[in-house]
Amino acid sequence: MTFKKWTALLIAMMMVVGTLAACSSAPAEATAAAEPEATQEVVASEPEATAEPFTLVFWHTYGDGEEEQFKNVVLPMWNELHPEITIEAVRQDGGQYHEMIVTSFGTGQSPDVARIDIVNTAAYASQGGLVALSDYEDFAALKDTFLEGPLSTNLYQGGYYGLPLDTNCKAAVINTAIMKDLGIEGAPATMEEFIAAAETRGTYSLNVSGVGDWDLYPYFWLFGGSLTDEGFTKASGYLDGADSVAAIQTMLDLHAKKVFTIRDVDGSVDAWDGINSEYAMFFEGPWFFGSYEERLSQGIIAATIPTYNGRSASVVGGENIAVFATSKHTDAAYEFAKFMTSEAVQLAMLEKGQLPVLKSLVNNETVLNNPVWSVYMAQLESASARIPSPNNEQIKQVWSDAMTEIFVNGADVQTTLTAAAQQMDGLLG
Amino acid sequence: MKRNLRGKKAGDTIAQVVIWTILAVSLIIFSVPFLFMITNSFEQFSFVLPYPPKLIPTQLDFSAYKYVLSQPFFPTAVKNSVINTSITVVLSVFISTLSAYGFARIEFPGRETLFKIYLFTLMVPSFLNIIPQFIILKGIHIPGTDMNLIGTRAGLILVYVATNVCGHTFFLRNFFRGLPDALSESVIVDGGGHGAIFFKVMLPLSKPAIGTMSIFALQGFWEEYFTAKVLVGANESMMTLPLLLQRLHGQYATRWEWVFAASILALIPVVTLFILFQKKMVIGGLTQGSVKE
Amino acid sequence: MIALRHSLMEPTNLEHSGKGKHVQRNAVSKRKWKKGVKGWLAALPFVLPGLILVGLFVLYPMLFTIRISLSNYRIVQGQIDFVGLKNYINILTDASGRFWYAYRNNFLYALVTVPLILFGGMVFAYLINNLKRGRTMFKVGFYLPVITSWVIVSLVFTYMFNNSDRGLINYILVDKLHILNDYVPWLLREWSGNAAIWLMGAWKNIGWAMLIFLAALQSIPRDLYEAADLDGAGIWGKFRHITIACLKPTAYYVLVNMIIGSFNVFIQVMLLTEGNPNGRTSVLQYLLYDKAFGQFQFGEASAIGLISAVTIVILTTLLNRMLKLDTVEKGGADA
Repeated sequence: MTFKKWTALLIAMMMVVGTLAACSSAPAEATAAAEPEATQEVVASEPEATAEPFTLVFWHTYGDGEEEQFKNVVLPMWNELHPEITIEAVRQDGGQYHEMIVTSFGTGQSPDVARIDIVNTAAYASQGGLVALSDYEDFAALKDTFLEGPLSTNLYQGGYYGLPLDTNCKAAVINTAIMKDLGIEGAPATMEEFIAAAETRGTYSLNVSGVGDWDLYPYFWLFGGSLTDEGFTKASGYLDGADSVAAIQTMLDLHAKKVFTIRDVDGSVDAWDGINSEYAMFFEGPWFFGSYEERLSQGIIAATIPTYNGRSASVVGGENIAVFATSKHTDAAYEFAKFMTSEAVQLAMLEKGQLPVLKSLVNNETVLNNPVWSVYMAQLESASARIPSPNNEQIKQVWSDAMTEIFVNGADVQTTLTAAAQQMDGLLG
Repeated sequence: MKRNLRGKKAGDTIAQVVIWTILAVSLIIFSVPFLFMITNSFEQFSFVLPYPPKLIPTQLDFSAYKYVLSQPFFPTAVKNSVINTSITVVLSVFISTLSAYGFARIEFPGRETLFKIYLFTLMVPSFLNIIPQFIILKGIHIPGTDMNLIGTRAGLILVYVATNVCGHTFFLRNFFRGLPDALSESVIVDGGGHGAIFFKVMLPLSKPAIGTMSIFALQGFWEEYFTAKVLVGANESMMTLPLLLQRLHGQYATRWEWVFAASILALIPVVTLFILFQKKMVIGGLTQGSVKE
Repeated sequence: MIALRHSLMEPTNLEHSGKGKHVQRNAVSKRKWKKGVKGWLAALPFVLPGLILVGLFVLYPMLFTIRISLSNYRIVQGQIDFVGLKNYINILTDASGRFWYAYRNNFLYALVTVPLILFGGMVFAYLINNLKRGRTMFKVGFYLPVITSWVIVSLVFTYMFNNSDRGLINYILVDKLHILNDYVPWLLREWSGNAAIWLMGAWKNIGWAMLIFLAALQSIPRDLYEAADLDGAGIWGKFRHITIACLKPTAYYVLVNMIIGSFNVFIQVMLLTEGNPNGRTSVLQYLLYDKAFGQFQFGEASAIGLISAVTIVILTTLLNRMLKLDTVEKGGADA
């Protein structure tokens, strides 16, 4: 009897030990799989074998319309070119996409290739999660075909970790009927003209959602502010410089005069809603014009952001396509990334409002003839990128914390910006 | 005497009316969010919210429901949610019932320490566990193939079951402790062991308690989002209702009527189950113990 | 506990029997060992499946978290470098004070919602229990928020607290009742944002407490009340001396559950306020999530998780001491 039970106990203990051993060895495996050298070897050596068919996993956050276009038009083009490589396109919801990608780094279950937000590219690269595409021989030539601004968002420590996939920026969305009430026909050419007209109205004419970077940078830049030096190395002397303080002061004045409202500060109506009835203008990306015929028929048009002191400004958005370091088929994934940035694909996706990133398409007929896309392409010329930094999330927080202090709690502009600039210096270094 | 009785009866009626009124008013206030949800699921917003906000439905427009039901992944999501939830509930309740019996009725060295550890795990935030859990799933290979459990239903269910063992064990252990010893003694007299006691005495006796806990557990698994997102989020054929709901949310702006319609559709099964089983639920014996020990 | 008590008693018995001490101890330990093995063998078939799962998917990850909290974790490479208490120091001394606001908010959440839930649940349960008609309706009605998922509920609350006259609360307070002159961005102010989070927490959990209390009330023997009737006790007297007394263990169960719940608040913060403005409505779990999955700071996130766990353990232990609930254990522990 005892022997039997002893054996049972022994087996049980072995099982426990065994499982614990499995636990401790598992992370080691993950380490080995994700060694950066390993991926580079793959890049350097074998050209992708044509024999074995395989699958590439592609993550994206396309909406319904874009996904349809991608599946029905773009994928068949790829399948014709590379019948041996199946693309498994996985649509992720936009809400927690960044968090999903971070998690996938930890679990080693990343996609082979993904469409990622331009602002996160540097952070993923700094974590060692992406393949440096500039190591490929043909990259040097490829590089010159892209628009400067979108391309630069892939840069991290001298290497390019992705290709620009689509671009966008904010432009002015205008309710022409309300503008008319203000005495302006169509879109105002200058901000000065608009302010003079809206000052007397007594209710808010211009709306922005919140105090975050994407919301306030266009205004900040438009009114003459600057975040850092050109090389993005220092914020002190720029973010807290006289021009920047004046820019914030201009916004505060407009806010006090009831020209300009910040939804999250004043509790005012959301712009997508209020533009139909109360606001004359707000700045938004091209997705607002998803079904632009309908918007235009309601008298809501797109225009470049009116100039202030003779200068327009906006913020660049958009996505890059990046190859993940954990991919077993980095060469094929790079091939797919190049395919996605080819003229034919860029034009196909443009039909659904994904603005192209190729120099060759800036003056393309389809773009120029469209009443909305043409505006956004023109606006891109005066649009600036956010600070490309692996610390993007923290920088974003410094900015919105400072703006909350100023706009909500009425803190002193100069003092707040000086403190913010010092914090930002630490994050840029 | 007679008058006194009548007076008492009248007093009772008044008391009933008062209680009824208090409860009814409270319930109406409590229901505002639901009313709001139902009303607005019958609207057509296209990103514009109605003014004034509507609390009472003014129209019965089912187009939001039609939209949700016509989503290509809706049937898949329903199927997956039903399958995942049912298997998870059965497995986790069975394993937890076994554990609870072990902790409640069998003496073994280290029992209290082990149980304290179980309790402690209930207090530790579970978000960060997802990465090591994932690594373990990756290490478990499906026999006969070179596939591991990531992205599979089995993997998801395994994690669901495992992460709920501690809580369910705690819940059921107290119930087993409350059952009189005399019952199991009769089995022992007949020469039966713990297995016999468990299957012949404990299980039949604790059916209502187990049922109650199953209902509680079911609600939790039905709405689970985070783990499903991480473990099977890259596999659209594994989509569940909470994942679909999140997708309807939209990237730039919310179509509230879709979200609300989908929410109501997802709610119907759990509410129905609760209404059907609420009379049979027993909780009394389950809550007698305490976390301390 | 029983096992412990036995093992304490046995040696004393043996010592009185007057044999050589050395031999005794050997015999005792041998017997104990044998008994222990026997216990384990009997328990294993029951405990093992759960134990393996818990070990793999709960305990191992927990140890991993402890290790990460003392390390610098490079997630892609899986590289873990020991850094001592640096993560803890970073969190506690962060200039923006985000950790302390979050920590404060968890305590405030507990302080505000737990009494509401306890009291509300008890009152509703008591009233429903005394009802002759319509019990099911009220029971289901108050329980409805509990079964509704946190995501759905958060969405509804976001909409109700919406900006401008499109939000229900603004519409009622400004347009209808004229209590306020201006619309308020409720969810983006420190105190109204927190209040919305509390309100939702209380609303969602009162039904759960009600159900638990209702079950406890139904298990109070009728004759207790009848005896009190004979003694001429009034409604209040009966409520205080019988109902409250009998509900004490249940109340403790609800209390502990809700306190643990208060430190696990997450989804409503993520969906209602995102911790805005400046982290003043944040809570530990949201901060943890943001640190780990937003900013790659897994070490600091793990440290936050452990601080939160230790806090809960201390709180529940303190409560136990303060409320002197030893009697509670009698119900089950010595069965």
